[in-house]
Amino acid sequence: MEYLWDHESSDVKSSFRAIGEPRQITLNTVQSAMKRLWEKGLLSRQKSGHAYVYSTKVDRRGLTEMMVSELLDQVTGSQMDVALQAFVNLADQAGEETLNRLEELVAAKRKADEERS
Amino acid sequence: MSTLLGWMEVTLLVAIVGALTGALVGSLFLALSKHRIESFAPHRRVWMLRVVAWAPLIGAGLALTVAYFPSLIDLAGIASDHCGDHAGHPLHLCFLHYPPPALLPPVTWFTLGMALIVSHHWWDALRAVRRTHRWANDLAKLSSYDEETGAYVVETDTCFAVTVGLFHRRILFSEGLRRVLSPAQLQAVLSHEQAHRHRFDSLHRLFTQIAMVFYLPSTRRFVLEQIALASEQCCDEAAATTVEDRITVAEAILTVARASRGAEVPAGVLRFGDTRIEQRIQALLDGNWQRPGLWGLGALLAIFILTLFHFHTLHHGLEHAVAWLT
Repeated sequence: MEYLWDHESSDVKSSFRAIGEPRQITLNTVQSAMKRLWEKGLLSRQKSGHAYVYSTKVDRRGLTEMMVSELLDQVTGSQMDVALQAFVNLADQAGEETLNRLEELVAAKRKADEERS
Repeated sequence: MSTLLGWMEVTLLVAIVGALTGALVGSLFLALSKHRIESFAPHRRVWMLRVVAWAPLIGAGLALTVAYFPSLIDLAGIASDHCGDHAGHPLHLCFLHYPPPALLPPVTWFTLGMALIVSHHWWDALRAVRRTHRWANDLAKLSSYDEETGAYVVETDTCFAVTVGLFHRRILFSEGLRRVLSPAQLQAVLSHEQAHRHRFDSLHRLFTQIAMVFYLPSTRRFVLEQIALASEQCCDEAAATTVEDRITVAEAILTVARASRGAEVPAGVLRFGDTRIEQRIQALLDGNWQRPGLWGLGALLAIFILTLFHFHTLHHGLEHAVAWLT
């Protein structure tokens, strides 16, 4: 992804020369990694002759957003159910009404403090 | 080999009985102070609840000491065992001069069953830690170190601030959080997380979870929730001291709560703005805590003194109890 963000688009062979050779990974590994990213919807590809030319579908920021969202979803999903045993998410328990009431309370206290000083 | 296994079985039984007694004492203490506990200052409350949480382990330690102290001092060459005092006694807990007592089959099954339950509980807690560690590492990979705040920043609109890790503790927060908070509120959030880091709250939480296996699930839940609330309030107090304004901390909690609604994090991760918001806000606005009475501490001291002065009575009593189970 880093390479494609810097170069906009690339075929498998060029990507392999740029990132595969220095890291001593095979052309097949680079090819399957790019295919997996395409399958996940992170890359788009177009046929050019016998090869596919890949380009990114999401920018760095977008990818970070997706990954953070996925990580936070993991917690609510079944994978983290043991870790959630002792967890009490009171942000959810404090409903709209409670938050409004607390905000009013804090605002009143702030006002009273400012008037006193 | 069978002698060693026999003594291991007896040791396990003594430890389990001690732990269950500790849990009973802890539960009684909670039943007596449950309604008052939230009025105590958070740092005192955390320690009170930790002692309650650790009562089964303290009980197990005391029971093992009562059972084996005479043999241990003999083994260390400090004093000779009192085997001679046991003429006519049905059983003597001395692993140096006597074979292990043969426990009744139901007692053996009870001991093994309890050992399995405890091991399973501890294994679960460690698995949760591993899972949380992996989760935190994945999140950390998306972050970059911010010298200005001394924390790791994740470039995302989602609002969160977390302290991750048991020993190597890191604070991570999102760009989204920085955008919704004022500089003073952000400082309050980071001071709160710093306090979690300095207090080793995640590590304490893990030990507490491990120690509380001998309690009933409802008691376990109550103590863990109370400790979580008290820890959050301790960190709120630290943040209020840093920013020199309790209302700023309350405002920060509400802003984070509103901005991060629906986003949850796992047990080993301490997150700003998610534990009992209402109690935390009220505590920040009121801020008047009661001092706990010293009777709890007095009771603990009394148990230690009684153990010390009536050591032989307790030792022989324990031997009679074990003899009853053989």
